[in-house]
Amino acid sequence: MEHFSKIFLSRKKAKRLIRMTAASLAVLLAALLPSGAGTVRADYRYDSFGNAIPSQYSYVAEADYNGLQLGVGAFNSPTDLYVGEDNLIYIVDAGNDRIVILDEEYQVRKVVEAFSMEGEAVSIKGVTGIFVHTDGLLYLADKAGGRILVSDQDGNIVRCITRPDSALLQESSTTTFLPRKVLVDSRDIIYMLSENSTQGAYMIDSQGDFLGFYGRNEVQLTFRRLYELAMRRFASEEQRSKMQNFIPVEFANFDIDQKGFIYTVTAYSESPSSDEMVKKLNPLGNNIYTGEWLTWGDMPEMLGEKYIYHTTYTDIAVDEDGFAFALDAYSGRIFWYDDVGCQQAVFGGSGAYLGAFTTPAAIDTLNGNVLVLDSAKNNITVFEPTYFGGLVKEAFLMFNKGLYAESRELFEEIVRMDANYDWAYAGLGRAYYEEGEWEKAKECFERSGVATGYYSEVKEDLRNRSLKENFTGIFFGIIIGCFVLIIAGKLLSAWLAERRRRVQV
Amino acid sequence: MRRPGYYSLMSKYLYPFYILIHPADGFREMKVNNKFSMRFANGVLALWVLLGILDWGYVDFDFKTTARQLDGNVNIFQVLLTSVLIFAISVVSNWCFCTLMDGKGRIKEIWVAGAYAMMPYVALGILRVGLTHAMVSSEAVYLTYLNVIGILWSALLVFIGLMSIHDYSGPKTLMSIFLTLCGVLIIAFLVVLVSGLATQIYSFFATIYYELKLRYL
Repeated sequence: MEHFSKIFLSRKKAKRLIRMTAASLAVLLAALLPSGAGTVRADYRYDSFGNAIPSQYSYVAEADYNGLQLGVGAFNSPTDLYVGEDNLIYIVDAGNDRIVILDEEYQVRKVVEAFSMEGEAVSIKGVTGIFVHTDGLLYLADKAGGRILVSDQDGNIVRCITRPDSALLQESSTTTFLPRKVLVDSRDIIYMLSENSTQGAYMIDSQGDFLGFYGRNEVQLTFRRLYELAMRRFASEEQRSKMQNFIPVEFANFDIDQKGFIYTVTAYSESPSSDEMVKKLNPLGNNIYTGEWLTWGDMPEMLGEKYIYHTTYTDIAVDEDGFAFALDAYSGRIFWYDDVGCQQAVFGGSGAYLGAFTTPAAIDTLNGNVLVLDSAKNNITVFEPTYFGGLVKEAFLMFNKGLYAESRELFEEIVRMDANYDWAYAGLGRAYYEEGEWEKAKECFERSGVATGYYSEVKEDLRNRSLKENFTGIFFGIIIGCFVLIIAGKLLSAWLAERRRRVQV
Repeated sequence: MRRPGYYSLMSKYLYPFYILIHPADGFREMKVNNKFSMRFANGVLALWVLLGILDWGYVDFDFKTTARQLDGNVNIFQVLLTSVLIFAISVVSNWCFCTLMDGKGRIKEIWVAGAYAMMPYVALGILRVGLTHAMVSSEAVYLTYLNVIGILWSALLVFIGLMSIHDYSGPKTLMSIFLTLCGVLIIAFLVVLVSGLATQIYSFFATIYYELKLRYL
């Protein structure tokens, strides 16, 4: 022993070394490991310059649940998740050929293991989308079977909707009938997204008749398209057939809110410009997310990312307050938009820790929480709003309802906690404006950078007010100014004449 | 036609304002009677620099359109580059070409005539920046008009000024202006080339110095 310590270290020195190592390891671990509730990298938000600005945490992952924890056996590649009106969570566990129903407390309510249609067993392994109607019926989009299955809560399939026989729906490569996602509106009209179909959503009425297409993205005219269009004129028939066709990109997914607006997401592609990545469609199928300052998706070059990637939206969920959460399958990030499309925060991420995803498949909301289903991690993650997130929700809810003055204190608190919040400054300015504090409102709108319209309005009001108040001064000022100018002109010309006479003499 | 000699009696500093409204007579008189003020011309150029600064950093938020206006950090060198430096290069270039093309103008005359010609643009520009604080974005079209009027007026003055200074015909003036623009591009190219080479030479010697320093010092 004596020998050993002589060769290496004295005991005292050894202890010190161990202590130091432990201390530095602890520091290292503290730096590496998540300090908060499953949140490692900062949430962010894009400002009016398009820079990604770190923000306060608005949603943090509180827990995740896999099948084993829930006591129903591990999930196997779940494909979709839906929260019904009854606040039950429906998970399509496609790999295990079952649907797992959870209640609000994340306890298993029911597992629907066997599906049967007219006494015959039906597999739901090919189901990629689920919607639960207010009457409790499950609408399952069976992509592999090319049909929509309508089942009750016990697995009895009451209806099976296959390709409608309609003159409007001619057989072509863009009118496939491979249902990926499905939803039903309050008029019992079924909206269905079909694989490879670029025509928009299929509208099918309760009798199973085809009504028409809904929504659809437009082909945008870009320089490349223009070039191809010009080239097409000179190309031979054979070359032309090999050229890319001008077809819009299909919707990745959609959701419906309580007012009947349908929200769609589209993965990035060159053809729909980024304006069309998230859309809120009114019943006519027109996009109403069309504000000047609205941006969709990530700008990786602004994030300092090593790889340039494009946001690949895979799902969107709208909560009861009208807030939309769009899920990016590539980066695992969730983009939070409010009722009018303003980006409020970006959270989540890619990784193995709590609050990050490897293959996020579906998103939905439950009692203000956000649930994300990961089909590779085979679990659902629950995000809860933080104090800050709750403030933001409350404030923008009031703001979008038109309760500007009432929302002032909330916006003041938001700005105090997160001074880089463009939309919050717009809200605060609007509150000041309602209260008649126009100078303060003007400052807020300028600080906001995205409230240009409001800024102009308040500036005009201020100008008109000061014109009214100082009318006498301005009026007489102009008259006196005219007199002064006339007299100065006369004096000047007299002086010039005098000078000319003197020189000529 | 007024009596000759009338305008020559006007003060040197009032005379440019006469040129604004009577450019053809004014520039000819200016050349014939040596009636130009270098000081006034440089004053106009200084105001041009001021306009550059104001337009960059002091436009009201409502009318900020470009990224650098929104950013608002004025870079004085960039302002000088886009106003006075370009002006100086253009004058030199114009003098170079017009000397070869039998132009009668001296470089001093070109400088002064050019500066006088910039007066409407500079004055209306400063007025425009001031008005952005009084007007709102729905009235932006008036400010655009102001800007366009300033540019057209100045362009006309440049044209007539050069014609008078060099004693050219109209088409020849247009030709000389075209050549001048080409000359500006050539000079800009040379400047970039020389500065690039100078940087390389500097870095070459700097490398040798560091090498020696690391080895022997």
